[in-house]
Amino acid sequence: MAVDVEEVARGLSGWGKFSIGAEITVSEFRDERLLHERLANFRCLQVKRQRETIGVLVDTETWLNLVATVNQLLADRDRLDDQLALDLIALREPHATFEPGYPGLTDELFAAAEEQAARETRQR
Amino acid sequence: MSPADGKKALKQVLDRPAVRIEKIFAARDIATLRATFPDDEAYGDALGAVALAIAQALVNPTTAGKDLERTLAGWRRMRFGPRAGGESDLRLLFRPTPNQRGSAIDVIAFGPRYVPDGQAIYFSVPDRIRSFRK
Repeated sequence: MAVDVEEVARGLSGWGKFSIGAEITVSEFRDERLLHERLANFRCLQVKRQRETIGVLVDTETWLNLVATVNQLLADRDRLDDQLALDLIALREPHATFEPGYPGLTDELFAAAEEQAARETRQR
Repeated sequence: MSPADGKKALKQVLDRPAVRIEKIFAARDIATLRATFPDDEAYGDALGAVALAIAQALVNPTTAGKDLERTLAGWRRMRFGPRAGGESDLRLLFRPTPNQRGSAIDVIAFGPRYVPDGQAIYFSVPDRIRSFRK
């Protein structure tokens, strides 16, 4: 099943705001029926010990959606990186004359870089 | 790593004939690295990481990094971070070039994906590049 990233993102944005009752205490945790019921109702629970939230529990489908969303975002980032790289190559390649390195080249590059930085500072 | 050590590491790869660069782009990329990493230690680390990436590309020019699809010229990109285990925010774009003595590469760009003002360094303006040549 394809993941609707926007839908998941909308869901994620509400994660900081748990619904009233979307919690389970450590002692209630052992009650399987209660656990299933709460997860079915809320899908995402704060796990509490006394008043302290010690964790967050999500149902399997929510977890799988999260994993799929993260994977999709990583793949999107990868595609974007490819596109950015291709755009830069398209911009630079026609103007490039590739020269083999030689002793002293790096010193020249750093001197030119400092010059560029100084020029840009003056222009600002 | 200090900036001096980072520069020394870069010298070890860029001063070799097997690495071919366009000087104007390389100077621009070094300037961008400096602007992105105002902290000396971070700048030195970034220079060292770029040097290491170039060295790795030189050792395995046809397998290092990732092949860029939809390009016929054999360009590849590598993603790496200024520090081991940190975020991979630096990039190297290169292609293997034939060299009778062994492996060689053309480096067309290196540096951070984004500079501090949020502008992607990938979009360095060719007009500005041309103006440097005049």
